Amino acid sequence: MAKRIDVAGLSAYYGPTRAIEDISMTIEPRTVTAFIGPSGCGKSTFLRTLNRMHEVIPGARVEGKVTLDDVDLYGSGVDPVAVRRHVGMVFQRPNPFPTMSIYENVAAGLRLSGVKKRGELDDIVEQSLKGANLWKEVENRLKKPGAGLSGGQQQRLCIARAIAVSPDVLLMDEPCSALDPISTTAIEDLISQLKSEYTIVIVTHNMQQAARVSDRTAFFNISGTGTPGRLIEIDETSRIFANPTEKATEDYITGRFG
Amino acid sequence: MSGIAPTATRPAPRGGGGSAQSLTSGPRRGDLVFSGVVRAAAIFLLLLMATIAGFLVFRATTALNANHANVATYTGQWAPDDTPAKFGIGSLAWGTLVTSVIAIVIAAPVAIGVALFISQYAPRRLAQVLGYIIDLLAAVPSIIYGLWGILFLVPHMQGASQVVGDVLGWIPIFNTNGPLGRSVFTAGVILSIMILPIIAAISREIFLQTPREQVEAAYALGATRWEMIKLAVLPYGRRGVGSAIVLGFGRALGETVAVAMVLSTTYNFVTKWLQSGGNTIAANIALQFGSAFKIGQGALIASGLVLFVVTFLVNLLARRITGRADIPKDERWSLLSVFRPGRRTAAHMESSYDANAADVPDREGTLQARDQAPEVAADDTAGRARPHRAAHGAVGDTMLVSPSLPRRIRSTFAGGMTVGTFVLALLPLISILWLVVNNGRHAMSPSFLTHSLRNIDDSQFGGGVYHAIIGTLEQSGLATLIAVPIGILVAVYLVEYGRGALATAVTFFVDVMMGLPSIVAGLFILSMWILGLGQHANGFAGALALTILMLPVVIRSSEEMLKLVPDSLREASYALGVPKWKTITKIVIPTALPGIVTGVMLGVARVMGETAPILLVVGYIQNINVNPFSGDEGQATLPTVIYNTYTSPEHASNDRTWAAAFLLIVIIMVLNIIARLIAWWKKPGRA
Ligand SMILES: Nc1ncnc2c1ncn2[C@@H]1O[C@H](COP(=O)(O)OP(=O)(O)OP(=O)(O)O)[C@@H](O)[C@H]1O
Ligand SMILES: [Mg+2]
Repeated sequence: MAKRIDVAGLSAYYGPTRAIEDISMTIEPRTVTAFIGPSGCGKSTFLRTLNRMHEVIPGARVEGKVTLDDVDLYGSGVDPVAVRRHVGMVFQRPNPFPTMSIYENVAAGLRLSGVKKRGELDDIVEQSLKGANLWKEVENRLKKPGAGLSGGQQQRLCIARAIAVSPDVLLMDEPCSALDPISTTAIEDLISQLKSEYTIVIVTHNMQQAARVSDRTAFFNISGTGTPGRLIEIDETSRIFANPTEKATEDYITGRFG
Repeated sequence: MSGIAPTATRPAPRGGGGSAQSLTSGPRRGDLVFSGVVRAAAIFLLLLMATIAGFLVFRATTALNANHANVATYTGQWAPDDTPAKFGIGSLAWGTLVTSVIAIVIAAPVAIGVALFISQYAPRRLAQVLGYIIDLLAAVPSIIYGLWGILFLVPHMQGASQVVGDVLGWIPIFNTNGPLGRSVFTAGVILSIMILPIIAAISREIFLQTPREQVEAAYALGATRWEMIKLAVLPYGRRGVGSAIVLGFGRALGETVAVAMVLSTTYNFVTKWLQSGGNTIAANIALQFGSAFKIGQGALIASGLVLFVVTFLVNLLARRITGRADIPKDERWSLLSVFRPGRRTAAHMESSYDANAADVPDREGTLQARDQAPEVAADDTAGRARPHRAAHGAVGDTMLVSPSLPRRIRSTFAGGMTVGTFVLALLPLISILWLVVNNGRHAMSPSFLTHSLRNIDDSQFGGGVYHAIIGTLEQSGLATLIAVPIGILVAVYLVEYGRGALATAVTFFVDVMMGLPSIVAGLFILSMWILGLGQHANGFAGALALTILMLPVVIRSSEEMLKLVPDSLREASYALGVPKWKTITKIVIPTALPGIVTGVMLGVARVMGETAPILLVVGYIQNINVNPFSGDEGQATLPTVIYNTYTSPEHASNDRTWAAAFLLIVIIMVLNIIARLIAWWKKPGRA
């Protein structure tokens, strides 16, 4: 079910200001693609154009093309709500629904879009929690509030919640930046396992993390404050870190700026 | 599997959860319907206000055209139904102004002292409880203030007025040569007690918001506590307190029954403030309405319009003064503020409560720091701090020398004064509760709760308020049933959909309704529903008037609570492919629910004690009528029982009046306590 994403000439705006400009890339199925780059270069913005979350922000709009296998996500008649069922997202800070139990959190995506059959839900919840490596820790407290878990557990709960709707693609925006090293390792292991089934895109500020988990890495940059972010290059991770084509990429990776 | 986009269809991976989904779909019916409904609620609110305004203006102009006297200057009598009709609104407006000015002059300093005591001097744990106690003053209904005023305060004020008159009699307004007590001065004193809680509550909240850095900066300069307050707290709170005082003034202008009960009515421009006599617009409406015919009703409506416009302008002024969105506009705000993770409790919660709260305090905190810190730090702290440090240095070279004696005395004295104001504010509360309990217990019995006043003479013992309990519960219940759904829908519209002109207009009208005197709400329903549409003066009409009063409370508090739901939860839901309307109904509203419920309960507690609007739109009866929709029969409520019986000279009847007051206070206090318990139990970070 993993799918391939093609982006062509994509720009995104917040009101009148252009945040990212003319981005084109291909994201292969069953791979982990990492986005790196200095703060403010538009990684999150770009990521959010891939599941049409960008337009949730008032005044925000997108130009260009994003295709999921061969369907244009911005084509006429395409429903952003349906797009998000296919392209799931995990956020920087764990954000379980505070009024819901662990079980309800995982089931939320399905329940709120109409799947009500109890047995089916039980199954999916268990599968998803197992998929997120959380099942063993919570199997006896499924009825407890999700907010009662540790930060790392909450983040894995959010991953379980995202994969419960069985998306084709999983977008993760700095999923470990609010977590301690042990939880981070747990999430990284999970990402490696998930890639056999999903297309994964992860934004990270941690070079080692990008090197550890990703197959391909995209480097974004801005030429100055107020200018839109651009994709500098995208390539095999090993190549980006060992022998990048662009000078800016090398400077960034070796810590000469950013 | 109705794949419209060819490749977007896919095999069911797990039991078909997302499988039936394709990327394309028709317009989302759920979203369209839901956004249509909330928008309709918002538009309904605007149309309602416009219709009401139309009816009011029509009635008023008819009466004004029939008036043969100068409406601004005519004094001596209120005779709009005579031929020729004669009435003047000028002297009423004057009386309204005088009583409100007296009230604000007394209330403002006391309330600021109370706010300083609670926010700066009282131990933290105690502070919240003390704040609630002062808030209780706001929960006491005006009918009970009136009862206390006429039966307790007026007799005591006679002596006090005599003393003031003897000493200050050479000042014209304190001159006395007639009966004392039922004067604008006494009315002003009662009003001051009634508006004290709103000023105190808002000021307290503002003082608590003083940025920590400024407080610490002042202390770091060696300031005593009082000097710190002068350096940091008062400058920071200046505008907020100013706006609180103006809001309190607006409340005083519209207060009805308490004034109506205390003042002995005269229609002149009162100049001797200690002497019995005077009138206000609101009180006059309550007093004259029962005997008014067509022109009379129009004349009262015209005077009500004047009151409406004046309170509206005053509330507008209050908003202008603050210039900031985060300054509370209502005393209820302080209670709802426990739901704001960013304030007060933030210091204790920061570490344990990260994920969901993080967005809110971050945003608030930084905004606030950015807006406020440089300004105050630059002109106030720096400017005034230097002399203090110089003074400090002059005392001795070592840092360990304590502040000079005069400074310490001043600080202690100031602290003592704030304690004094707090005690002063407590006195009326204690006095009221004591009188109500002490006088109310005689008639209180099970049969008092299960019998009506049918065929009971004033002089007869027995009887009860069963009929009034039914009326109170039914009318406030119906009002809740109407106001809560509409109110929540409008709040959802404002928070989740509202953009552009419609949202601005709705916000504006909610503000207008928020400051609406309750007697004017009664006039609204009277002129539109009863006089305009020819409906009956039954319990349902009362419920409609209460709805007008409850709506803004429900909208405002729901709006506040919905705004507190972090955007990250909405995004998490959207990212799961949940449509907007389900995100709102299943995620956003449930998260905000405890706060919304608290707001609703406070709204109910407020309208249950309302007297003035009910006097205008519901016929008063002494027997049981369980049907609020009945055509020709009215309904009694606890407040109207009190209002209709308190003048009786009979002992038996007096006992019942006090017992009804006792019961009313108990019901309202219980509602307030439950609201507080919900707030405390469900506040974020507790779970
Ligand atoms: N909601 C918004 N409204 C207006 N401008 C925004 C908004 N969100 C981001 N921006 C701007 O868009 C640009 C790109 O921001 P974005 O958050 O995508 O960067 P980023 O690469 O994810 O940065 P970081 O590494 O700090 O997360 C920035 O200049 C930012 O200020
Ligand atoms: Mg980012």
